[in-house]
Amino acid sequence: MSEQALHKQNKMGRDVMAGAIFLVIALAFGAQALSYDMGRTIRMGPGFIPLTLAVLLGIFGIAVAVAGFRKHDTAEVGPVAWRGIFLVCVSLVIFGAYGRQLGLVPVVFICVFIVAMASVKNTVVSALAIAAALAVMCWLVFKVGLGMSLHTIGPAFGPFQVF
Amino acid sequence: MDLLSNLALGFETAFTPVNLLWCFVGVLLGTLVGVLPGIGPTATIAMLLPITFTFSPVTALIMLSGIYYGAQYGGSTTAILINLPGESSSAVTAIDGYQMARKGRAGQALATAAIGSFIAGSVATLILAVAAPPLARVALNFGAAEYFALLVLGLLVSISLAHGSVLKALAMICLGLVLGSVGQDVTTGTPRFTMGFQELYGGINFVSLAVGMFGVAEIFRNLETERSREVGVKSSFSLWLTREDWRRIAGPIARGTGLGSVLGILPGGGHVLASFASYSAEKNLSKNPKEFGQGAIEGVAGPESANNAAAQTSFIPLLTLGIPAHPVMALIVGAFILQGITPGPNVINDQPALFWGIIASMWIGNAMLVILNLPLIGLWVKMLTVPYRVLFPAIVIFASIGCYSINNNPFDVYAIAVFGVLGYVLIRLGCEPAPLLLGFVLGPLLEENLRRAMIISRGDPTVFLTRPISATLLAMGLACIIIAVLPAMRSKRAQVFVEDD
Amino acid sequence: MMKRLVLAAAAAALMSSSAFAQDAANYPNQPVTIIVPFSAGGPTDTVARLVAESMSRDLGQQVLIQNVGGAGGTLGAGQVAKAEPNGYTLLIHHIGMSTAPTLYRQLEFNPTEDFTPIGQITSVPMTIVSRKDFEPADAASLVTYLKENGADTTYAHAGIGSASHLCGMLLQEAIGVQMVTVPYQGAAPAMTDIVGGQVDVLCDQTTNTTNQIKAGEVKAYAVTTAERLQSLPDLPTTAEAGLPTLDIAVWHGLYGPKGLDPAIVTKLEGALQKALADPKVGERFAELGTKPVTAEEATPASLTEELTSQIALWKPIIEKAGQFAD
Repeated sequence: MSEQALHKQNKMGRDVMAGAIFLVIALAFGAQALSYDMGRTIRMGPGFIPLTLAVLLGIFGIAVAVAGFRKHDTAEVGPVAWRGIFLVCVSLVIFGAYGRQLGLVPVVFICVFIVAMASVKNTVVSALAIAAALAVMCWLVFKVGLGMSLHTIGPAFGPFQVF
Repeated sequence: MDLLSNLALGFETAFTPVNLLWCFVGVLLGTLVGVLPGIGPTATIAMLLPITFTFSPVTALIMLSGIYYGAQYGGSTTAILINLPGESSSAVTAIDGYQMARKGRAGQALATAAIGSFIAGSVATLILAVAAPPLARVALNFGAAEYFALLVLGLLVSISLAHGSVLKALAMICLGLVLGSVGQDVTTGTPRFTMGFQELYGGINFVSLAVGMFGVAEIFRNLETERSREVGVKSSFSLWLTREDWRRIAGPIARGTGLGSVLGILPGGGHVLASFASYSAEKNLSKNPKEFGQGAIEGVAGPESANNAAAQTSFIPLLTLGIPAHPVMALIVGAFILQGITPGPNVINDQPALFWGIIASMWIGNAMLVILNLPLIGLWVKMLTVPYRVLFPAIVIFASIGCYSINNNPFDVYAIAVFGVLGYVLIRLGCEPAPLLLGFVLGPLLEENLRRAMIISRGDPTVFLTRPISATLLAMGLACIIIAVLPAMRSKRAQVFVEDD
Repeated sequence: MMKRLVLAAAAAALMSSSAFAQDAANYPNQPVTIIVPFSAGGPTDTVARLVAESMSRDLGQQVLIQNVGGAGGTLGAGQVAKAEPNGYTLLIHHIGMSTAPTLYRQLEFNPTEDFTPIGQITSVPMTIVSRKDFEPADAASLVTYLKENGADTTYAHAGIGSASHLCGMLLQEAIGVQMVTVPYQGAAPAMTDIVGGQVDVLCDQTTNTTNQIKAGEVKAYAVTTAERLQSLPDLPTTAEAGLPTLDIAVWHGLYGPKGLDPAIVTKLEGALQKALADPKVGERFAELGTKPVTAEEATPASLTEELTSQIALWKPIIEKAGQFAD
């Protein structure tokens, strides 16, 4: 959705887009909230407050969009850092999903390398260098200094595992 | 003078070499862990509890308290330098602090934070020493209805957190409130919006949200224009405050200290409002409210002071009544119990050396912190000379490790990606993240207290108007809206008038 | 490339973990983590930390506490149920282990089948307290008062499935009146509102109440165990007050994941028993209003028996109250 949003913003104005996003989120949460118990005033159910908030969010979303239609705002035009967004997200997912198995040093090395490639100013070599430097630094700060619970080199490396 | 002899006893206790040493270790550790987002005082204190077994009770508690208020000093550092706030209070500091850093005034922002924190911490400790027991009594008059009214007031006041459209700020607060309702419902245990994931039962992690919406979204913004210009913050040359700066921060520090001290005493979550409230107050009092959000030094001085004052006065309910105001205080209760002391109203009489020793150590600790932090500023600012292409991978990885280490929950890391993208889209569309964060923090408190107030009043909604404190707070909220809306209406009328003319 | 890396990682993980399980002879050769399914600083956390500190001296390895709070303790327990049975991930849980299967109808683990019991730790008594200006003067008049005005009395508890919630169910069952229950997030805020006079009655662990009772901040009526407390000798028992069915203590147990090597269990059992015999632990427990269980009770058999009998005990009570957590 965000992809379309950013392409269309020139035509529609960013306030309309923002309002639409709020409205979509409000609808999603509101629809889900309806399935929870509403309760009574003395003992409100788990659905009452979320539904109220979703309705409020929807109203504000519409208001933002309406206000956007009325004024002809100059939308912010600029390139979108697709490559950066993609690589940073990939790195975060890898860290979350495999951090425990890989261990601190390997996961930092892999993730930093991926993130560093997001910058057009980094070459493969410089990205590897940054990755190596940060792997050492994170090991010093988080493992040696703070004793965090991730393995230094995780169980994924079998006999080379280091706690 | 009773107070003087008590303080003499306190300083006598705190000034032993052992206690001074561990006080220093505590505040140093606190500063360092405070700098890293995610790895806050809770994790550190929990980790160090076993070490303190071997200490005498007063030494253990001096050190653990030092970690807590030391972390409040460090918390603003990454918020200012790289727009990476690790807790709700530093999210407020990030608004103007990071803009100052972008303009090459990182040194001044950090110095302001340290000085404001020191003054606030010292004054709040004085309040703690002079009037802790009666203040704690007053705070107990706050029931669910009063907290609800206070939170509503906080939300209304916070509209001024945004420097753009009020309507968008309201929508962002609402979005924050909605996101805050994700997770298991406190009253009934129903899992809400968890999509079947057990990992979401505890709700969305605040640090992931803050780090995503501020830090990662900012990285995406910077990568947009990487080709065309030098991005990131400018390294600054002068670090020290000018005479003009001093003049500008004096008022905000004083007001922030007052506001923070009052809110910190409330055991039901007043401290989270402190920095938001102070920011709003400063913006509304300022002659140039337009400057806020663009790097106003008042926007750093006020909230940082309020936050530290609240951190210090949140010890009041703990030390005088044995009631912990937030999770860190609960941990310190645990530390008391492990040491064989049950915190409560008796501590002040049964263990005067402990009580006054801790208070005295807070002054010593605050003094150590300011001495420690001012020279560190030069070091931190040096780090900004690191090229951005090296800095941003470091930011992403610190954020990942920090969020992961809170609960060892992979979802907390995925959440950074989700909120990074959402934050990026919303920021590009002209919506600011700070109000969303406030809504997110206050949402669960708001709901809990509303529902509790309704149960206690047997379903009678007039309870908010019949209880005097709650009614007063709500009236103040109404006044705030009127004050906020009036100038807009007046200017609109003026505009209409001009067009007609 | 990524896919292959992941596959390799997964395969290596499987291999290394099976190698681990047979490593009982030189157990423990790395730090042991005990998961406490509640937040740090609470009563269960305190019990766990005291025991862990003492156990680490016997095991010759650090015993770390990791707090995995949420969902009434079921999140942390679920994590241990799914953990590798290598002895490096253990669980300290309280009475909630026996109420979870009834309270949570979609529980992802089975307390009797997915764990290896190691031993009981302690049973913390509970006390019934109220705000200090609450009308009834003693336990007997409290019972009379609640029978007449119970429907208009507020009862605070620390959340669904918490010890104070369970005690509240028993209390309402015993007097036969539904009170207005007010849920809090944890014991501390509930106690705050009792001290502040915002709510009327609370029944909570001595860990949380003893000091407030001694300071006169709250009014105490009775202790929920068969014997009076050493720390509060004037406080009558619930049986003396005419509520013999209100008998509850918050028992704690140490568990490992299912399939723990018997040699490791024996090692841990021995370490637990030594820790409970440690005078320092006994002294701290006494200050909390409790005492360690005997060596015979700190055994897998005794914990299994307690767990099964408690599950059977709570099932009808919770079902009758009709209170579920999901």
